[in-house]
Amino acid sequence: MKKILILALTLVVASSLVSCTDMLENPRKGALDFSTYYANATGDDAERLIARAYNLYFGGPESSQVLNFFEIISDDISCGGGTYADNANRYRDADELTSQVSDWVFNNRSTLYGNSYSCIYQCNLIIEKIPESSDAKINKVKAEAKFLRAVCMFELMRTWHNPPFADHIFTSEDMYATNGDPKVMIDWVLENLAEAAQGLPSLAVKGGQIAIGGRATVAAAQAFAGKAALWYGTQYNDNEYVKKAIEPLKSIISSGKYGLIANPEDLLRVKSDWCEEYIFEQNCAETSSNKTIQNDNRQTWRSLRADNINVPSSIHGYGWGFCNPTQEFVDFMKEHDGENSPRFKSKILSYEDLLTMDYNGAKGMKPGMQYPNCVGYFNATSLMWEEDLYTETGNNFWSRANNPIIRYAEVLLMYAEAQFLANNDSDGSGLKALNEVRNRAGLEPLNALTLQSVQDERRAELFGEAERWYDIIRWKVADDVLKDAGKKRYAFKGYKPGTTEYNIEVTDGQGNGWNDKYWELPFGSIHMQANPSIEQHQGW
Amino acid sequence: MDAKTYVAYQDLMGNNSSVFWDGVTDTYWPDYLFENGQASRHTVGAQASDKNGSIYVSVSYVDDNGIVTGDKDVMKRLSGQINAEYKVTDWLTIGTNNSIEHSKVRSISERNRINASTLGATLVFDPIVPYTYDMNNLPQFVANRYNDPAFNLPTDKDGNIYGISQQGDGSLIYHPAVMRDRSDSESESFNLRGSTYANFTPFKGFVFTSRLGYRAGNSSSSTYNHPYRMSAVSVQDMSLTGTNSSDLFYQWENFANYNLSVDKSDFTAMAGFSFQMTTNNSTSGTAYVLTDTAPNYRYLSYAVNDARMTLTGQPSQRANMSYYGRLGWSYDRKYMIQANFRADAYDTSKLDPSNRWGYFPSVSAGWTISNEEFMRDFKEATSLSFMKLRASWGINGNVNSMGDYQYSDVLAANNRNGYNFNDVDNRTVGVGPSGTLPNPRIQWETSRQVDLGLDLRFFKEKLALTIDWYNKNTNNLLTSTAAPANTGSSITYINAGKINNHGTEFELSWKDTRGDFSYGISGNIATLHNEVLEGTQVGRVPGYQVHTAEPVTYFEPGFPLWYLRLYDVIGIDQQTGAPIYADLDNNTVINDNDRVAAGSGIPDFTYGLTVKMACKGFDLTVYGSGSQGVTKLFSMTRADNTQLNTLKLFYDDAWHDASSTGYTHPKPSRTDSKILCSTDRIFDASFFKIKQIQLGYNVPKNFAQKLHLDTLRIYASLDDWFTITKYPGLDPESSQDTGSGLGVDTGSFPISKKVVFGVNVSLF
Repeated sequence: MKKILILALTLVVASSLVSCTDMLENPRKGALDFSTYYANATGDDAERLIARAYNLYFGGPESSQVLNFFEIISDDISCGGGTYADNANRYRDADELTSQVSDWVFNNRSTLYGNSYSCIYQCNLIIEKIPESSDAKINKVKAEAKFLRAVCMFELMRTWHNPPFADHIFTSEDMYATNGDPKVMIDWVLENLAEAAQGLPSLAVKGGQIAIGGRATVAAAQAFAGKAALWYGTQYNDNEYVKKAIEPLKSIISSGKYGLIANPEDLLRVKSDWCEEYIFEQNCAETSSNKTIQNDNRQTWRSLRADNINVPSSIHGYGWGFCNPTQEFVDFMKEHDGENSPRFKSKILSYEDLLTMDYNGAKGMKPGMQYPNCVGYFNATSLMWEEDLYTETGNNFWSRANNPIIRYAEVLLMYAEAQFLANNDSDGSGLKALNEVRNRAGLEPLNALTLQSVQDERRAELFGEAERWYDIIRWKVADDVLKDAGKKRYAFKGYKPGTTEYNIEVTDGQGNGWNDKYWELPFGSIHMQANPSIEQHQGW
Repeated sequence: MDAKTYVAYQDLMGNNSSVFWDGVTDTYWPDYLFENGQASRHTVGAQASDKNGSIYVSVSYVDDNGIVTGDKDVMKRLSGQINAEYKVTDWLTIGTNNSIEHSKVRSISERNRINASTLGATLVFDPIVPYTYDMNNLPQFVANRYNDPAFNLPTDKDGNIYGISQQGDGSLIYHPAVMRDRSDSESESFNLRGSTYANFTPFKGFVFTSRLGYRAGNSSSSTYNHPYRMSAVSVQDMSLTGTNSSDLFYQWENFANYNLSVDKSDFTAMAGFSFQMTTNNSTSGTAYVLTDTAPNYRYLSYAVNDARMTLTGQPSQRANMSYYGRLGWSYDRKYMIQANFRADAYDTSKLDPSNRWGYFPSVSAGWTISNEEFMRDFKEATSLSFMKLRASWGINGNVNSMGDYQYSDVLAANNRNGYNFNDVDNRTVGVGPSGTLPNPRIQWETSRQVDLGLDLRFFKEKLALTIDWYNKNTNNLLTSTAAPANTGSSITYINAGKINNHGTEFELSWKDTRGDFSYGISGNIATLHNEVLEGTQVGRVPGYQVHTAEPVTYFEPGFPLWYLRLYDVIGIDQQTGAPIYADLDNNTVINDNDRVAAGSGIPDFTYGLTVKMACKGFDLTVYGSGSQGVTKLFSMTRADNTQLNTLKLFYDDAWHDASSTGYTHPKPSRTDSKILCSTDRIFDASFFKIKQIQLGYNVPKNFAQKLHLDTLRIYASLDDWFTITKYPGLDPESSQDTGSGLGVDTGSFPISKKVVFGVNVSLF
């Protein structure tokens, strides 16, 4: 009997412990509850949500690797890197127009597509899920959410033209969205920017951005409204939209709260943080709680590469040497600005410019080394200036210089372009705006606007700010300016022995020049695979 | 490559290494970094038993100083074992098996990337750089850095500066000794594992077992990173990381077995359930400033607060439970059939409660034909002694490939995802969705397997042949896949795809004894066919990327799992030495459409051979195994660091000039990254290895007893000593990446050759 008792007891204890599926409840740590967070959000909670939205935007369409791609695929900037075999992120294929659909799995292009939609999703959640409130912080955050989702949708549109329209929160039921209608989407973008402007702050005084910080303002919403309308109007030959660009841009100019800084060489440097020229900027100052995460390593990608060339002492020697100016751009700048203009030096440095800087040891090209995709001129816009850097550990050096997303110079140039196209600049205000930019660049004013003069000024002024590709597409000149893309490669090897003549090795590239399919960039294979409802663009 | 070949190779490529070479230096890095390792193992055990129980106790000590020079890879382990069983009454037996272990390990990085391990650096670092410099005769560029306070050049223990590669200054490939010495990593752990059980036998044929399995352990580790700055790129700050982790695992199983024999039938039944729980709690801290950096200050107690300090720690737990049962019937030693069933559930970290249970049945049957009456004549005619046919079918389940909480979406608060709105030092933490598109329908991945087998034995069991055929389909693979990006989520977990594995295994053995001489030979061969039947997404899914930003393996229906898909080199231009790639779509651009299936890291078949001989106390065992039909992509390269050293054949067998003949590789190139992802870099990694040759001698009993010993055996063996392969890389057996990197050799540690001497003694 005793044995039966012991057995029965064991069974009872065992089954009571084991058969209860409550033991399988394992709540997740470090996670907030989806259902209540929005409903009960305070102003501070809303700020934490919009902080993430900004983070996705700066890490998405504005991230260094995305911008590198749009520089390199354009006619003004070439791949570079350590050697020609360095095809990091398939940049070399972009440079030589041998890209393929599968390249879009690499993080730069995937980041642009994915993070833009993630940012829109984040904003849609804020707008749809936080209840109506009289809290000023919450309403400002909602205005910023409208701004950011409009800007992201615009970035998606100008890259892919008809990407899926994310005007609402997708669920697993409707996740396979089809291509969007550009006309419907641009109206939504402009409407969101107009509504955002209602709730966003504006500068108290000229140069007062520092009081607002690296966040959107009324002027930022207006600048993007002008940019989106002008892009759509020129991309789709719809002058109604070009006209829509004028009003918001004019408001910024007539507000008197923005201007151009005196020296173009100071742009993109710490000394220009919060300057009157930046209409919207990413704050890149380090924070003690986690230093290196505020900024990405854009300067590292583009600064001088020390395996190939000795680096001046004022510049940190840990660049990767991507994004060098092409011969075409150098020739254009010599012609348009002249080699001694302040703007020329702010955009590109010649080999001589480099050699006249201070060094701790040897200067010039390292013996036997060559600088791929370089014609003896170097990109001056994103160097790793020692005085602008901070470091946390080891190899990670970051610039604390704020990253301007849109500058007043661009507002002036967009205004000039819109005025010229919409009404042939009937009141001359477009010419005045253009000449303001020329004046700062150290150039003589023009007497009249032409399409060419507007386009050339934009090309010179916005070098290194990833605008060129979108411009040559919407201006329909890409087939001409890129007709020889990828056919030749140029490597810089210093001076020819005993001379000061550039020693440039020319070899055959892998490309065959322009291909009409590039008028519309493809949806990446990874995105096509994940969403079979998307229709691919012609030729890809 | 030696220095001369290396320089010629680099010059041919256009890297002009001769500029950096003094014409003399020829450093063979392995000589500096590797030495013969030494390992010893001592075990002492005692055993006792009587009619009611038994006990076994042993202690074992292992001391292993590995092949890296110096004491950087050392393992010391002391372990003990206690096993006991006792029959308390005729209906109750209790028992326990336990092992206790304490170990100390000092290790270096063995990650298989050339820029992540000592081995990688040893293989690719320039041979034209000296190991160390003569401090009285420093080259100018080294002297400049030595005198520049911004640099902190690492030295050997005598203070001599380690060689600096001028060519590779901007790369992340470090001097191998720096790679070895830059971190001091030590860990110590204590573990107890075992099980304790009770068997009740209240009546004949019935046994109820309650068994508690457990594992408890504590481990601590510490890593000290030495500061240095060799160049702008080769920089490391001082840091100290300490981690302490404790684990507890237990499993309680309760099951009953019942056996019943009626006439010629034997019935068995089993039913039970089990519950498993694993908990872990770890704490880790990293400091970047210490009050002093002397070795006896390298503890977190001496950390100085600064912004970079990090602290992490969080308890975690996993639980799962199962119910299982089995019914079996065998009749007259001829027919056997068995049915199994189990149901498993995982906790909410893996599956949504609505889909947490998975149900897995299986059946097996056997027919011992040799026991049939009608076989009697046949058996005599063919010397057949045993013949059995086996068949089974079953379903298995798996959720382990899934990360935690992947079926749901939550909001994550994270400083990294936040933003510092202004220059005030006050970063706002970012809160947002974790990026997973919820899929509560996710469920267990299942495999269905069919086996058919035949066992044959002839000549009084001397000759044995076993043949097995299996076919296994894995369905509803648990995979993370890209969510449609327009949803704003990046991934979603789905059940999709289907993989088939089938193969046949043969094993043939012969054993016999002639007088004092006994011997046995056995061989086995197993074929393996692996094929993806259904994809997890539309089209071809790219996998492993080598350092050219190009994928080299793919997941695609109709091909083996993660097979190699590469550009196809169809010739070499006699004039330029450039590779000619097949342009399959004739569009004059070489792109993904021009790739061809180029083999797989999964072998066609594997085989083994064992020969055993014994005569008068001596015994010899030779055992080898091989693998056939494996293709590997040699990928110990980086497209952006063409100055790396590599296999000699890439120079010797390469095109040198327009008059070259007989070459098999193109001119080395610093511009072409496609060659690194092409058929030029694949090699047949089939191999046959003699895994062990062991010669032993059992000292005759009477002689042993004179030494007051019961038995004495001495032996010597060569382990992993001989390899027959055409593979030019390090070790065809080990050099393989895991997961989607199947078939890609990025430089993992080879299996080392060992000479083993041993003595076994028993006293009573």
